[in-house]
Amino acid sequence: MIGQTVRLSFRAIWSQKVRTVLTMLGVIIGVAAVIALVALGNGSARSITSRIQSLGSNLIVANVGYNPFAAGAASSTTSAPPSPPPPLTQSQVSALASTKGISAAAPVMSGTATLGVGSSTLSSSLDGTNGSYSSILGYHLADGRFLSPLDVQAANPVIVLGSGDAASLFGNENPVGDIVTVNGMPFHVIGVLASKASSAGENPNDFAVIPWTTYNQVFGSTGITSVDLSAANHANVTKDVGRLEDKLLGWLGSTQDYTVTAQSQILSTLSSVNRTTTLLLGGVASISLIVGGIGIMNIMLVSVTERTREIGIRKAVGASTRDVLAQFLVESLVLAGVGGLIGVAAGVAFSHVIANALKASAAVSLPMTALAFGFALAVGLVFGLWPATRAALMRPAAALRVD
Amino acid sequence: MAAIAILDKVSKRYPMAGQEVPALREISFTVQSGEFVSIMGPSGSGKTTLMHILGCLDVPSSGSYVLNGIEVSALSEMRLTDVRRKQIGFVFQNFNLISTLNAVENVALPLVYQRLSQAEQHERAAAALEHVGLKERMKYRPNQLSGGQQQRVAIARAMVTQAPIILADEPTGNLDSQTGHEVLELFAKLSRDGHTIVMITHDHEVATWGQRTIEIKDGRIVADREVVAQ
Repeated sequence: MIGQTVRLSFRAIWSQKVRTVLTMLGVIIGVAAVIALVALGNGSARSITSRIQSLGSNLIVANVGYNPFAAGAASSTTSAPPSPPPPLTQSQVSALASTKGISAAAPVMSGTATLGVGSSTLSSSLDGTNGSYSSILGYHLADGRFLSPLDVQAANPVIVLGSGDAASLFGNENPVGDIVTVNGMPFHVIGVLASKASSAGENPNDFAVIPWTTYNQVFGSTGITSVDLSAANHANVTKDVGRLEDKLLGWLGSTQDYTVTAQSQILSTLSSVNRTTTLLLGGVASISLIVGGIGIMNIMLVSVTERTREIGIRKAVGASTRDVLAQFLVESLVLAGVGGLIGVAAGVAFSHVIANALKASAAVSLPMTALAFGFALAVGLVFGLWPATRAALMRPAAALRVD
Repeated sequence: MAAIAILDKVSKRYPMAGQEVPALREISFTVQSGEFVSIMGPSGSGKTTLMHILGCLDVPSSGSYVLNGIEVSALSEMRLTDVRRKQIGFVFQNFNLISTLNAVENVALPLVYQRLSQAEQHERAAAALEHVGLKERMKYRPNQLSGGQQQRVAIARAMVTQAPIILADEPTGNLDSQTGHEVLELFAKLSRDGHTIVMITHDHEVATWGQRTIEIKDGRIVADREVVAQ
C-alpha cells in the first residue's frame, strides 16, 4: 500500500513537470545553500584550526614586558608608562621549564639579520633560542642536528636553517657543514629543518635559528623577554598557564609586567567564533528552505483544489480520510524528498566549486547533510499537512459536484 | 428475495440562504437483492441527492436507511467510508475516471483501498475489464478511450469489488444513443448475472431497461411500478 502510494504520487507529481520542477527549486536551493554555506564555514574553521595547531597545540608563550591591557592597568594609563621589568635570567627560564605540567621551555629572541653565502645575501628572520625550540614549535629536522645544550653554553657560532632559507641560499645543495654569514660573522650550518605547511600570511620556513647566547653576543640583546613553553598535556593548559603566572608574579611583583598566552585558548576562542558564524550561515540558509516549504504548501493547495473531483472519486470508491491524507502528505514529502536529494548533490558540488574558486577549503559534513535533508523532509511534512488535511476532510458528495 | 436497501421516510434538507430547502421528502422504498431499479425524474427532482444518500456519500436529515442490514443514516464519515468500500459500486454520468491512471489502475482503485495485494488487484481488475469487453485496452489512459469505453471502465470499477449494489447516476447521459445502448446492454447483462442495480435517469426510454421504475418529482415518489416486459 505504501509502496503503491509512493509510486502513484511520483506519477501524479511528474504529470505536472514544470510546476514540479519550479516547486522543487525552492527546496533544492534551500538544501544546497545550507550544505554549501556550512561546508565553507566548517572548511575555513578547519583550515584556521590546523594552521594554529601546526604551531603546536601545547604551545604556551610567556612574555615579559609592560602590558597595558592587564587587569588593573587602566588606572595608570594617564601617567607615563612605568619602566620595563627586568628580563628573565637563564635560571628563571629553567625554573619555568621545571614548572609542574610543563615539558620544555625555550627562550626566544627574535630579529632580522642578513644571511650570506659567498656573494648572495638574504634578509631573514632570525631566532635566538635553545635545543627545546624545535620540539615546542613542532619542527622536524630534514638533515643534520638541532642546537645542543653545549652550543648554548659555549655560545657557539652555529646556525640551523629553515627550509625556505636553505633553498634561497643553497638551492638544491645540502648546506649542512657549509658556512653562512650572519650580519657578516661566519656561522657553521649544523642542520636544516623540514618544511612546514605555510600558515596565514607568513611562511614558517623562511627563518633561521642560532643559540640565544650567541644571539646576545651578535646583537647585544636586552635579554630574555619571551619564552616558548610546551605543556605536557594540552587538556591541562589552563592550569599550567596559572602556575606560570604565579611564578612570574612572584619574580616581577606586578600583573602588568608579563603575559602568558596558551595557543589552545586562542584556538578555542577562534573555533567558537567560527562555530557561531557557521551556525549563523546555516540558519540564514534554513530560512530559504522554509520559503521553499511555503512554495510546496502553495502548490499543494492548488493541486488539492484542482483535484477536488479526483478526491471525490477516491472517497466514493472507498478511500478513507486517512487514505486521502496519506496520499497528499506522501506527495508533498516526495516533492521535498526529491528536491532535498537534488539539493544535497547540488550543495556538495557547489561547495567544491566555490572552494576552488575562492581557494578556500570546504568540509561537507555527513551529519550536516543528513540534517539538511531531514529538515527538507520535515518542511515537506509540515507544509503538506494543511493541504492534505483540506483534501482529506472534503465531503465526497460536495467534491463530486465540482466540475 | 432478500431486501438489500430499505429506505423509510428519508428526507434531506439543504441549508440555503438562511433557510432549509427540502430536496427529499419522506422517501420510502425497498430494493430487493438482484433487482434492476430505475429511478426517474426531471432535473431538480432530487434524484442526485437520493443517489448520494443511497451511495452513502451523504446522510439523510431524517428517516432511516438500512443497506445490506446496516443502518447507515447515523454513521460517522469513517464508518460510511467502510460501507462504501464494501457495499457499493458507483457509475457516474461523466465517468469520473482518474486521468493519471490507466484503465486497469482505475478499475483496481477500490481494491487499493481494500488493501489487497497488488497482484490480486491486477488480477481482479483485469478480469473485470475482460468482462466489459476491454481486455485489449488495459493500459490505455482515459483520454485515449472513447466515451463508451470510459463508461465501461467505470462499470468494471463498480463491479470489481463484488459489491452487493451498483449505483448508476445517468450512465448514458454523456453518450450518443448507439453507445448508450451498448452500456445499457452491459447493465442488463450484469443484472442477469445477479447484480443489484439502481440506475438514475431522466429519460423514460432508458428507465424501461430496469425491471421497476420509481418516479420522483419535487423530492417525493409519485410512481413506483414494475416495467412490463417489452
